[in-house]
Amino acid sequence: MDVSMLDAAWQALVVIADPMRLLVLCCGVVLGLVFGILPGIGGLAGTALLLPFTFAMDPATAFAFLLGLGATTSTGDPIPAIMFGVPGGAGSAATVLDGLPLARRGEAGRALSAAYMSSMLGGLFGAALMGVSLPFLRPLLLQLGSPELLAFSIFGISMVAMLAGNAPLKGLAAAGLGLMISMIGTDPQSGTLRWTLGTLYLWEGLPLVPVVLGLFALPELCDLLVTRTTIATGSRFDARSGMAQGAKDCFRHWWLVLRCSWIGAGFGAIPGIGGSVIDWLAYGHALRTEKGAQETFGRGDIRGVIASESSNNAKEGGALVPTVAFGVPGSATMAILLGAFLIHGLVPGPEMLTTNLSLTYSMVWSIAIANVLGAGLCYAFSGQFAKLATIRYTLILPSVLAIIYVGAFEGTRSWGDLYTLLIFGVLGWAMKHLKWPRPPLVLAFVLGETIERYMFISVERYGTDWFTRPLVVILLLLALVGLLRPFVQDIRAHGGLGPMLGSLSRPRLRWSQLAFVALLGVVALMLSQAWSWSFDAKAVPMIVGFFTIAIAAAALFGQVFLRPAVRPAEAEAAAGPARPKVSQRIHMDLESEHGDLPRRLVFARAGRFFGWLAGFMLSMATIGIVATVPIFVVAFMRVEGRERWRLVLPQAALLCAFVYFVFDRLLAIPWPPTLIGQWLQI
Amino acid sequence: MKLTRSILLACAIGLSAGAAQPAAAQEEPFYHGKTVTILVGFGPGGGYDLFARLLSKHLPEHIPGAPTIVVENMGAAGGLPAANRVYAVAPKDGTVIASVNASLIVYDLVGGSAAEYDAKKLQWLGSGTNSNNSILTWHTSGVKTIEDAQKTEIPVGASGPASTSYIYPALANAVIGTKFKIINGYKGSNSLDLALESGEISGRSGANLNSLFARNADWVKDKKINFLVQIGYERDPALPDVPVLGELVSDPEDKQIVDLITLSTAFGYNYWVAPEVPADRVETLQKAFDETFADPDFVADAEKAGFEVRAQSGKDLQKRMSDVSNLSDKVIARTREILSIQ
Repeated sequence: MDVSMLDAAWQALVVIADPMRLLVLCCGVVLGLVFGILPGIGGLAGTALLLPFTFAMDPATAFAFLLGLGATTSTGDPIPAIMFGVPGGAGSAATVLDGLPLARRGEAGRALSAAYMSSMLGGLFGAALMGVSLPFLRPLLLQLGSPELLAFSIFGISMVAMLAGNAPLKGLAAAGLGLMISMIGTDPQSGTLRWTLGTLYLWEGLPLVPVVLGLFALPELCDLLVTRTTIATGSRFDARSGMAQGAKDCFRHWWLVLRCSWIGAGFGAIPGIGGSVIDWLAYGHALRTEKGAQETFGRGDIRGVIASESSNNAKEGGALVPTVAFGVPGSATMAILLGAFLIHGLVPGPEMLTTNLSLTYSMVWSIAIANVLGAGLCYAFSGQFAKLATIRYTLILPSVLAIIYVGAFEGTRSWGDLYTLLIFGVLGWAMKHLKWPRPPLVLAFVLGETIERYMFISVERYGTDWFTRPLVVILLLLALVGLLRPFVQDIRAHGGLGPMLGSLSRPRLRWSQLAFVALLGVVALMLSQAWSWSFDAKAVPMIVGFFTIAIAAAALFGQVFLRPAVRPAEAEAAAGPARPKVSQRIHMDLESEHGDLPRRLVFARAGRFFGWLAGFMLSMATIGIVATVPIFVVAFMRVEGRERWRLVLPQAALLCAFVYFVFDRLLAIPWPPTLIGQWLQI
Repeated sequence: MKLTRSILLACAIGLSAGAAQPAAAQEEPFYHGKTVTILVGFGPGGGYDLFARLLSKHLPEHIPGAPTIVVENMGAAGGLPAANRVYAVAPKDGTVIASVNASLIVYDLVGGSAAEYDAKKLQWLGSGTNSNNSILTWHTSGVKTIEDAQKTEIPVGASGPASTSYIYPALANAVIGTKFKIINGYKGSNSLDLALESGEISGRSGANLNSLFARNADWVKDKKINFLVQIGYERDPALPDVPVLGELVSDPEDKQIVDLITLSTAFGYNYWVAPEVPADRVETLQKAFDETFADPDFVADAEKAGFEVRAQSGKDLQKRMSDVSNLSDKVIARTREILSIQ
């Protein structure tokens, strides 16, 4: 077996080393990087677009092309994440947390370099893991039933406790909201339309891309407008030295890279969990295990970037496993890859591990080579990318915003995507300013659907027996420990539950507490609507809803009636150095950096930002997106920045041409009909 | 500045409108220089999508004027938004063709409220292939025939109440008293196969025979699965001994329900345009579809991708539609219940 495996791997390498195939692989890599850099336009759109071009190729070349593209989108993703705080894809949202502060400090080069290097190492590791474990995959995966998948998802969601940082109750409440949102749409059990507001758009639930772009990208761009600066504010700038430093960082933390790659490849292989939360799982893991991480993560710690990026590139190798072995796609890109299997008359399953083993290995090699090429290309052009952080906001903002709109529209290709983007943009901005951590919301949103799905299957199929399966028990215990530990630490820091509750004070009311009231109101409204559903449809929403209300109410109570936690210095003095320094645990999200801007000005400018967004949508509805893009760019640059026409016009024209050719012509995106189009009857 | 802006605006409108300018000259065929869109009500990569992409390669040769054909995907909500768009919003000049799940036709016939289209008014262009569906069990399940399934309860996996994997076993439970315990929640056909192989479920439905034979040839060869019943109007030549559901039903009302729900299998990869499209263009397209499906190049290409071309002309489909269009309120009510339409 071993000999034949090595033989197949060697044969596959010979096949891939063919210059023509390498060239095709290169094309895939370049396209993958471009799609990765564009926020919201992930490998999905690219792979779908290019699938027909592979009809005429032989299988090895076709997969080299598609995998080259799929594997490198996550190498391109961190670039906008670090430079603008705008995740290039749903899988690199965690990179923003430390990447953006690094860029703000003028260390963009270092952050980018660390991101590429850990992407490459992670990608290579994922491919290697897949290569080595090929023969055991099928029997192993057949052991994983729905109860195990459920337990994996629960383990994943237990990370919210970690990702909630110094605001555990707010974090849990945000996670509760995320779970509630994940249950919008057709219930998989009874077909009940849950909270769809009478629209078709919500039948299949909210799409991930507009939600993530809204939560993470828009608030950053909004604050860029509020502070009216560049991203890297007034710091010296040296991309080159940073690059070397970033690579060095990566090797110094090789053990972290390795662990996060494991997480990426492992979770990537579990169908249903998918790439969009893997970065958070790795980030949470690093936060829990790395020395001193609890004080520095989220403030520009290079290890945060490394953890997130090494995991999200490793996932492609992992995701290939169930795709090849069973035809169950491990990620969205892999679902399209299945189409390529079909076209080339290949059948995922045992044959891919016997007769077609060398083809399977050629896929592994493709992923490995693509990762090296992708990182190399990124290094070559990085000096240019890093300069982006020093450009005025009026030059960057309009183009990035326009692309985000197009990217969000890729969600389900309907108007709803744009409303989703806007609504979650406002929510994200509010959460950021009121210091509600956003990561738990995303994690819960992604995993919530999976958990409900597998929970029903497990209960329906196994009754209560599923609870006793060994792997399930282990995973659930791990989840429990992860969930409880931060709270136990908190309670200890207060010197036990008694004193904590004993420290009641006179009620203190603040405007920011209205956020709790709003959350309570929304959840209560959702619950009241759920009341009339059938048991299957409402069981989980009810449990989650009441849980969320309880948590939010407790947090509100704490804010109003409990004395603020003991200051760090006093706590240390009182508790001695052995006690965990809980009060110092970080706020698990980006801090708003408005410095000394008066609140009224901040709100006025933020309102202005969302006004621009609304204007974009209005114009898009009237004259269409292709026409809106140049008008938006011109209007924004002239009104906000009084930029010179010499700068304005070329940028507007270029962006317009780009959107027209790439998205309208090449990707054939079905834009929504426009008012003017209907009026002119075209 | 004002002037510049209005010039820009004019340019921009020109750009966005450029794709759909009225025909330049009378003597040229309508489709000359046009772009025809096939809007697929599924995401990229699945059977409907791939078949449409194969068509987009071969169809132009058979349309006078040789238009460019592009495939667009709107996979959300089971293809309902795609169907609504082609029927209600998209241009009605014969440049937009729908390829959506035929179960959406049934959905409208029984009064599904989210349909903005009238299934009886669609103009059919043809169907490229169809293939019977089936309900099958794993060899270790202890249920080998449909009679066994009427006596023994077994877990059957499904991906949700709107999917055929749920609808067919539910239909069998309703009209012939089988005891399938349907477990919803599996995501996609391949997850069901995996659950079947690992023993988590004993049976499944929802995969058409064509793709099942292509994907799981070894299951059939090694007798890993038992076919209990087929869903279709006639028995598949490959399974001459397995009854179709309609044969097992005697009550005329039940038979009507079975025929109606079977429509979604029988129509296969179907294509239609909106009712307002001019008759001559519909005829041009119908002819082009017929010719393409008979074109040896196309058939060979399709076979390479694992599709067996079984053409039905637009007129065939039109006739089938009129066969199922007269439904009593009771049939509609019971069908809605089986399909979980609220």
